[in-house]
Amino acid sequence: MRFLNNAATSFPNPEAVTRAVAASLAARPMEPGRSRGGKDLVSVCRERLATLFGVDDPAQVILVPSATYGLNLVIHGVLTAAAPCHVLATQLEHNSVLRPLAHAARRAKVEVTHLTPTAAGEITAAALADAIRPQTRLVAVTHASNVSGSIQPVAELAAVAARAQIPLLLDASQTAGAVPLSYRTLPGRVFLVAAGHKGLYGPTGTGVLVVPDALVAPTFVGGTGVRSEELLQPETLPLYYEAGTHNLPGAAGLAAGVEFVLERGVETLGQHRHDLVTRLRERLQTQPGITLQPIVNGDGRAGVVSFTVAGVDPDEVGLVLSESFDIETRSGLHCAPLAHRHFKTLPRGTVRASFAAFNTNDDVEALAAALAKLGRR
Amino acid sequence: MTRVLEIRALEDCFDGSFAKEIRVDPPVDEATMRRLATEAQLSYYPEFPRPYFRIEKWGFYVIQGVVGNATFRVTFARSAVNAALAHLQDLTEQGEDHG
Repeated sequence: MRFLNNAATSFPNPEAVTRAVAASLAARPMEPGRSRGGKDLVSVCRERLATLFGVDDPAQVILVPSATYGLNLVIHGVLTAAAPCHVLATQLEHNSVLRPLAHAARRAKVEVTHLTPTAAGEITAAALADAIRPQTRLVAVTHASNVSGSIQPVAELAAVAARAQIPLLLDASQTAGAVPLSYRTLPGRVFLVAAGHKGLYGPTGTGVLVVPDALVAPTFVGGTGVRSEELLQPETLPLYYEAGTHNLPGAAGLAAGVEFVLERGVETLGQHRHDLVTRLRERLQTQPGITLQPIVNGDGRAGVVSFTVAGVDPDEVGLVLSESFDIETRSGLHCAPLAHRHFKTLPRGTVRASFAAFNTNDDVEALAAALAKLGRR
Repeated sequence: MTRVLEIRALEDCFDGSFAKEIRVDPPVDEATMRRLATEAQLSYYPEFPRPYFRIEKWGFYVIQGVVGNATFRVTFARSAVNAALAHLQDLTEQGEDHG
């Protein structure tokens, strides 16, 4: 099986990740604040993530069960305190942003504006600046669309939000580990969220949230292993946002995954994805009947190529690729319905091929050849 | 004789139809595929690495699968699901001499 669905979950994982998870399950549990004797892997994971994202204090790095959890924590935390208010998001967001915002809008007086990207799929700083209102309390932007792979100008967008003194929620699920991101250089209050099981090569059930401070009320509270005499959640980082026993095998695996990324280098991993994306786009551009979704500035570091085949349902293309050609892609709406509305690919969506560290040029050629055969049928 | 071992619900589809995965024993061979295509339109691609087929009985269902696999997918039109499923089970389980 050629696995080209890495935008959902990367596969395979580095061997070190598999070994780390197994070793964690076999070892005596070591939790921060709860165990003695040696350094716990939760803290190691936190420190490596801080290094990766350029975060000064590892305590700002919150380990969460998923990117979705981190996004919900920020959205509900900010909006509960701010309603009635206005929120700016984009049409490129995943349902992990769209749905919490829609629920917040239904529950409280929260109005949501979804910024329209350019035809190429870019959210410009000017568009963001124009849409800000006095009541705007949060800006939520995906670093890269999981549908088209277009990477957004995050530094410019953060500068606009900072000038308006509005916190920025940045979903880096599709770029973490492949596009350099320096948290400390982003202006203003930035909440950075990423999945652990995509470009960070950790296990599913892991994610990361970087917070600027402890000013947002936590969504979940509970045991922390320390300061147990206090009935309210200790307002120190990272405890404020990490209630309950940690996912120790997950943290061990994510620590190993981030170490893999740091050793290979984010630039190298991003360049590899870009090369594969560029090669596939070149192959498909010449194939009759195939329509490629646009990508901003030809930057393929998100590792995504999205396309349709004339006259064939995307779902059927995905099925044939999987069943007949042993190539796994993802078809449909990719949990991003507004992006597909923007790209005019509703209601059936697109076929998405997505690359990671272990994909090769052979994978690209196999997919291009399969689609050529499909086109001739 | 082909036996239906399991009918498993898959996800609902965008257009209100819904899909099921049917597991059979033995795996689908070309004769079974052609029997399933009785009074329906068969598209067959034996030149693919694993031969793909698509059978459409308009207004009832679309069958998609690969010759040699023990499962195939059926997308039913919502209005005709019960009749279509019964019809399909009859077709699948007919012996070769009925084909």
